[in-house]
Parts: sequence; structure tokens; C-alpha cells
Amino acid sequence: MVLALLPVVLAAGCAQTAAMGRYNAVAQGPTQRVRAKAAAGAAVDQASPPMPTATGLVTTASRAAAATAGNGLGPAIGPEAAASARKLIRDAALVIGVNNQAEAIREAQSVASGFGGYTQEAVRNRVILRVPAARFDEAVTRLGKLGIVSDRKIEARDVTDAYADLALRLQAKRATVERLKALLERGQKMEELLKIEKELERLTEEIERLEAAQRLMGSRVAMSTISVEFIELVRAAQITWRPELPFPWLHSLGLDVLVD
Amino acid sequence: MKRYALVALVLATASVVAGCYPTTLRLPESYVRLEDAGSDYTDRVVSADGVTIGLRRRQAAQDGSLAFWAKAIRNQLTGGKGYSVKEESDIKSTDGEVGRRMDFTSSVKGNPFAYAVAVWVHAGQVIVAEAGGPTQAFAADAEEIGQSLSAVKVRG
Repeated sequence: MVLALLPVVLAAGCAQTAAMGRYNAVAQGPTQRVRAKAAAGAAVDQASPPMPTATGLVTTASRAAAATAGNGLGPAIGPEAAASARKLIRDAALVIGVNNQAEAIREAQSVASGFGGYTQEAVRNRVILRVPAARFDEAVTRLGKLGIVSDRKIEARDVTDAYADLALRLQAKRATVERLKALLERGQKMEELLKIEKELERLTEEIERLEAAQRLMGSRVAMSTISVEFIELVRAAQITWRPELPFPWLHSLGLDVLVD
Repeated sequence: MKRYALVALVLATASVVAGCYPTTLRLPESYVRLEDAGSDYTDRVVSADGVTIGLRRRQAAQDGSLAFWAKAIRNQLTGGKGYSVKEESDIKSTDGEVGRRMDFTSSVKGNPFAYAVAVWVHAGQVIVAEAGGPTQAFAADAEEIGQSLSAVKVRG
């Protein structure tokens, strides 16, 4: 008896669901019904990622804040994880006095490779080194021990937002490319097809530029840059006899009087 | 009386002649001229980064040649002050007199400094122009410094 009734119950449930669907469609206003139709029928209104708008720019800062609050923009993550998601480009420029420039340059290059980095450029008394960002502080400290540091400049630029914006722009442009490709396949008038193809070409070039910018930014975040200039120190002259000429003004030559 | 008058005339002429010799430097852009050049200089100009250029003129021994004074200056700086010669070359003043330019490296309180001195000899006078400052700032202004040294007027 129960088994006989089962299909009847199931069929009734299905009918009710269909009826509910029709009810929902009727309950929506005219605008909502048009949107639903467009979503169902066209490839234009696909679910797309949040795009930057004038009123509500989606930034990583706000996204991270929202993420920690767990308000639906993403899975809730702790503040430490959010902080570590920041992208920093860290650079350093050092001027170091050394006894032997050539030897110091070799040592500096060895320091870089020891930390998993490499020499980007070595010209005369200057080297530009790239080291993994995680070893940046250690590398700067280690390089400073090669001689007397007379000048040190350390910069850190937060490019988290810029990186996120690049990613968003890429995503949006790729989505536009897909939509245009779909339009192409529909078969349009020749004039329309040409316009779409031209737009596709332009977008492809833009995407390539943005991808290159993203790669460069990523590389600079992953590998910090340390520029080191080596200056040879003057050794203290040994005291030896020297001729003392009877021209007192000769003794007033030199930096101590000039820059006084 | 006549003798005193003659001495006075000679002294007056000498001072007039000395006053005719140029005593100022070409002022590079972003440099200022010191109101008081100091007792050793006739003119001194300085940049905000501490690079200083100075000019002086001295009566010289009558037979002193350019080679003599260049060597005397080099000995004084290397032997007396421990400077290291970086390079040496001829330099022409703005009025065509050939002199000698010597560049040195040194340090002040442990900081690397650059120093250049240009010397000319003319009409019994030694004209010396010096430039010095922190190595980086000196290198950044190298062109300006060179132009200032070459712009020295040696003849009256």
C-alpha cells in the first residue's frame, strides 16, 4: 500500500514545485522578469566578478576587512593571514667604503647567491642584486658587514591594491573577450563582425600589456632589489719625511680648509 | 722724498694690477656664493650637498713653473694629508692658459670625499682652484665642477 502511494506523493511534490516556480515568476515585477529572461537567454549577463565602480571600488583592503568580518565577500580569514597577503616591493641602496672594490663586489655577489638570489648588474664599482623578499633584511645586514656603510636607503612600497586592481582589470577584460567571442559565433552582419574583431584585437593587446605588468610587479615583489656602490677607503698615510717648502699657503690646501 | 714717492707709486701700481686680476668663480646652478670667502680664498661657492669650490691667487717664486707648483701641491696633499691621486690631466682656463688638474680621494670622519685641485701659473702668480665634497655629491655635480674650474680666468 505504501509503495503504491509513493509515486503519487512524488508526483504531487513535483507538481507543487512547478507551481511554485510559476508563482515566483508571476510574483516578480516586470523588470525582474526581463532580467531573468536575459540571464537565461543571452550570454551577456553571466555571473561576473565584482568590477570596480565609481561608487564602490572593490579594494583588497576592503576585501580583506570584509573577509575578516566574514560578510560574504569571501571565506572569513584571520587578520594575520590578511596582513601576510599584502604585496610589498622592498628595495635598498647602500654605499659602502671598502679596502678593495673588486674583492667587495665578488663577496657581495656571493652573498646574493647564498640567499638564493642573483646579480642583475655589475658595472665598475656598483652591483645590483636581487634576493628573495623573505631574505631581504638578512641580505642587507650581511652586505653592510662588507665595509663601512656611509649611506643606506631602504624603501618599501605597498602594491597590494595596485596588484589587485590589475587582477580585476584582467579578469574583466577576459570576460569581455569571452562575451565578444560568443557574439561572433552568433553570426552577425559583416559590419558588426568587423567591429567585434577589431575590439577583440584591441582587448587582446591590452590583456597582454596587463599580464606583462602583472608579471613584472609579481617579480619585483618576489625578488627584492639591493643596489650597492663600493667606494675605496683611503688608507692612512705612513708618516715619512717630506719636503717642507717655505710656502705656508700650501698647508691650507685641502678639504679641511675648503669645506670648513 | 723721491724714493718714498717711487715706493708708493710701485705699491699703488701693484695693488691696482692685483685688483685687475679676476678673483671670482663661475657660479654653478644650485650653488651659492659665500659672502665671506675666508682668508685663504678670493671666492668660494657651495652647494646644498656640501660640495665647495674655492679660488685663490698667490704671488709665486719668479722661476716657479707649472710643473714645479703642480708637484709641490701633489706632494703636500699626498704626503702631508694622505690623499690618494685618482687622476691627473691638463686643464685650460677660460682665457686659454694651460694648467694642471689633479683629482684625489680622501675621507672626512670616515666618509668618502672627493677633492680636485687645478693650478695655473701666470705672471709670477699661482692661481689655484679647488673643489671638494662627499664623493656621491661630487660625482653628481662633476660636470658643473669641471665647467667652473675651466671657467677660471687666469690672465688680467
